[in-house]
Amino acid sequence: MSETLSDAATYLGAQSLMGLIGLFWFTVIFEVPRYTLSFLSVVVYRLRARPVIRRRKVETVGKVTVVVAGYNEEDSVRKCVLSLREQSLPPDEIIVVSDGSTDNMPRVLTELLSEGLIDRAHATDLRAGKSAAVNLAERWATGDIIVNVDCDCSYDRHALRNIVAPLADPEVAAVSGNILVRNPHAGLIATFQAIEYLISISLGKQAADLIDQVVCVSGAFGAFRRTAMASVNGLDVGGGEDLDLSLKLRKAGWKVRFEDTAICYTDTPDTLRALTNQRFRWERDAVRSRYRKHLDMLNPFSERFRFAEMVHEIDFIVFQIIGAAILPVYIVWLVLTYGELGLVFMLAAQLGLVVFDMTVFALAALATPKASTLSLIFYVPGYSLFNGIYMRFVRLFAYAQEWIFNASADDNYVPEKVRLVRKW
Amino acid sequence: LGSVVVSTARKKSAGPAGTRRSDSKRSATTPRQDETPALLQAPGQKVLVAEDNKVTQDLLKLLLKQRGHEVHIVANGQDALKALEKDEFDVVLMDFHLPKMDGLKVATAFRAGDTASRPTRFIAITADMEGLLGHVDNCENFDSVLPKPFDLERVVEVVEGKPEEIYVPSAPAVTPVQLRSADAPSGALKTADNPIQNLSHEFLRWPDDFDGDRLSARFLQAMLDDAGRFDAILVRQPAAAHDLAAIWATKALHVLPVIDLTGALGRHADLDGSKLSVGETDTVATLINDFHNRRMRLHHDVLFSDDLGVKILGSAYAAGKAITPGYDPAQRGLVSYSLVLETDLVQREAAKLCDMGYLERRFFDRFHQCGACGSSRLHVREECSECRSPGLHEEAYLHHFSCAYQGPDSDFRHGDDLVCPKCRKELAHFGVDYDKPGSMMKCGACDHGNTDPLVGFVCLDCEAHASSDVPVTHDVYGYQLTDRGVGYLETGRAMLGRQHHALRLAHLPLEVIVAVNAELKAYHEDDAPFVVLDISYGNQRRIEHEHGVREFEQARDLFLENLNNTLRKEDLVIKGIAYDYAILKSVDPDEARDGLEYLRGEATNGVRHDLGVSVQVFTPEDFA
Repeated sequence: MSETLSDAATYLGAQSLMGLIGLFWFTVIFEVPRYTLSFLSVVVYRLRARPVIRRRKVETVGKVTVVVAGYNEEDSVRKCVLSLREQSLPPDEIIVVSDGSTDNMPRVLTELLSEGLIDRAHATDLRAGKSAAVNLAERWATGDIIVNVDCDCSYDRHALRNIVAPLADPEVAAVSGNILVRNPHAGLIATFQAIEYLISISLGKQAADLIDQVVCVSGAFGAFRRTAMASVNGLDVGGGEDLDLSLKLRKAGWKVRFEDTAICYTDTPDTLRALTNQRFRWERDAVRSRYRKHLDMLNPFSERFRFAEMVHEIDFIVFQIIGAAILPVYIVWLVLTYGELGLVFMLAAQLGLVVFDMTVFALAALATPKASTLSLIFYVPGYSLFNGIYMRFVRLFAYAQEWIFNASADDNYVPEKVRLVRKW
Repeated sequence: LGSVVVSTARKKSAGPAGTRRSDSKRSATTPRQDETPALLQAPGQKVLVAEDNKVTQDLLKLLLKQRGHEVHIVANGQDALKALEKDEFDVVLMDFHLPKMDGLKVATAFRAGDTASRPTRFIAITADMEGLLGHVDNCENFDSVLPKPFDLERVVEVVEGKPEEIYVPSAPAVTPVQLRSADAPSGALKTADNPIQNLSHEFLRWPDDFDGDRLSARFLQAMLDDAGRFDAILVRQPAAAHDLAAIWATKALHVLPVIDLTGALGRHADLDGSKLSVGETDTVATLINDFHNRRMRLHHDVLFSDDLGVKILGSAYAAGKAITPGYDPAQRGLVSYSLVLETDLVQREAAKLCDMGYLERRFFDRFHQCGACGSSRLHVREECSECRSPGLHEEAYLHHFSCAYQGPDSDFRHGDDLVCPKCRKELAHFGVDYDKPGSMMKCGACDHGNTDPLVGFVCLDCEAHASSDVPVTHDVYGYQLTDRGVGYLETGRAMLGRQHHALRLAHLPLEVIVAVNAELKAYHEDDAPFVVLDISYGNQRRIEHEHGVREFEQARDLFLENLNNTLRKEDLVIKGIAYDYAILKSVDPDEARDGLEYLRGEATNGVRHDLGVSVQVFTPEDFA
């Protein structure tokens, strides 16, 4: 074994730069660019030198309606509503929809209504799916701003105040909140998620925001201008309705923003199986939405074609899809070319990425002072490996399923009656 | 004149013959007394006592001061008139035969020049009724007459303006049903032909014998002629509980059955006579008899108590049943009780009695109350959560699958067609294009839609609106006498702990009062302490029941004799009616308490029954 390692070291030491690129071409093409944006954004972020405590004055964004749509949330809906009432900017209106819940959620809603804690409650007997539930709530909303929240998330005291602030700009249609992991210590999987959320949402979306590339307003916490929602006819059939809505708004010419100070905490899956299933669903929905429903974003001859939209579409194709597809090819190529040494090179590349990831994580921690990050740092190497290899295979599998078998048609996240008539 | 005749009697019948004869006159001279509502008399009267006898002066002063009145003493008629001209008094207790100027002259002179704002009541004290009536001045200048010897309780009552005590514990006139002929009252009532009032019981009739919330003067007069022996209260006109307040304001009426000829009293009455036919009048006799038998077992203290709570206990005992609530839409609280008393009074008093352990609660129902006025007469309705309108109608939700639009059915209605307001597609096929996942309540007034209507209340009394989420509720209980309560009713205050009972001077035998008075003087002048032992017998009822009254009296006499022998020569043992007393001179209270066990042990020596002796120790401070 040590012989193999010393052979590898000797070989690598003898290579020229071009030789190294020839050896680590996968890393150079699919990994390094991923980090460039992050570096760039944080540099810009530091240059802007915003004060640590940003005092947000709520400008006249108008009346705020909070919409909560849930399924079997009898245990969490009261807590959720109470925490909304605790906000530094209390909502002007709260509308809750129980989407065909089979538990006691409708009764809890009636109680909340009679206690005056919520303004409207609707409970249906048959599940219609998240999109239809939110649409039902928004049918009655009277606010200028509609904020969608999830029952099982919790919100910082100033979350609502901060998330509506960017809507003072009349061109902004939607603002995505910053999602942090509430259970980072529930297990290794949850810890990796905490790191991933920090890097890809807290830092990644902050960076994307700088170059107008925020593509998805999280379903767990997003604020929308009601007129903008109306202009795109609200939510279409899910799943992945959050990405779909954001894409629709962008295509209609609205700006979509990310607000890092609007912090929301959510529980992530803490088993590998649950995480894998969740990501299967997300990736399948992303593919369906981007490349079935909104394929015209890639067509330069379409009247709806916009350069900014093409950028994130191509970014997704190259780094997510092709990256995932090429990885097995690269591994096979390494092993065929270098035999045993190939695996060592593979590990060496991953080791290099750990250094990258550590740096990026440090930047993310810097950009998100609210999150407690110190205890996570020792898990970054593990995360690096997990995310770089295992999660790539998960994605690859999900893409293949969706493209070949149209697997999202079987996702029970949306009721069957809806899936049967869904066009995409 | 001027001497105090010592008497322990409480009843009018103990008075001399001369007293009785004056009664008719006396009642006729009480118009001023009528101006004072019986129960509302505030304590703390300013009293002038004009009396030449020193012992009577002291006695009245002690008695009235203990009741919280301000007492001024003068010894002759001239001083009395001077005092009256200088100061204003509520009550003047005046000996008829006074030196220098007799009492009636004082009263007449004062009345002649009376310009004072405060009405002053004159009460004559005399043993010479003939002389008073034969006087040249109009004896109507006196509001009341108190005959000597004093009934101390009566003195207090007259001074405090309380009506006559009318209860006479004699056997009821329960005779076989026989109809009287010429006895019908002059004012013919709707209930005139009810057979009950023709029965040969002694009925106290409402409203005939009542005058407002008190007994009528005519009736009081009849009482004083000592003909009054009442078996029941007969309600001859539709009445509510509060119309019969006089029952609770007068002594010992609360233990009589209430027979309602009109049916309007409902469960307040003990018998609804309106539904009774001639053949069923035996029921009346049975009721009266049962009440009488139970009444006989009540302790004297309870029968003559002024306390409303005690009266309620006595009433429940006499009726032989629990104090039962029932629904009554005429009441703001929707409940009335099986007593001729207003609901809130029953509840207030019963709560106290429950705390004392005399009654126990039986949960009856929980009522919502109006937050504004406390009424339970609420109109319950389903209403809109937004505008509180009850004009709601149900409307189905409609879910269009292909575009995820979900809203009320009316959003989709275009004549006979269903058209999606979002994607303008026509919905053709239920279950394929769309379904109806449930229904909502829509308000006709404000178009607000919600999953469920709210429940709201409108108060029928004050029209205030209340929502069901801020429920003001009120629990209603029935009440039942506990063993402790029954024990108290049968044995009087012997059941009570010390904290329950302060010594009421007016209830003491005169002999005790005179002795205490003398001791108090010694205490104030020479600082010589003394104690009064109040002795009660907890097992009296049981012994009487098991061995007879004589047996108990013998045991009690032996006990008192033993006690007398154990005590020193200068100490006094005085036998009362229900309780006995001992006055120990020059004894420190603590010393007395330490010696109690020894005394009790010595005194019960050779007594055949366990009398259940309990002794309360009173000190000079208790008489302050």
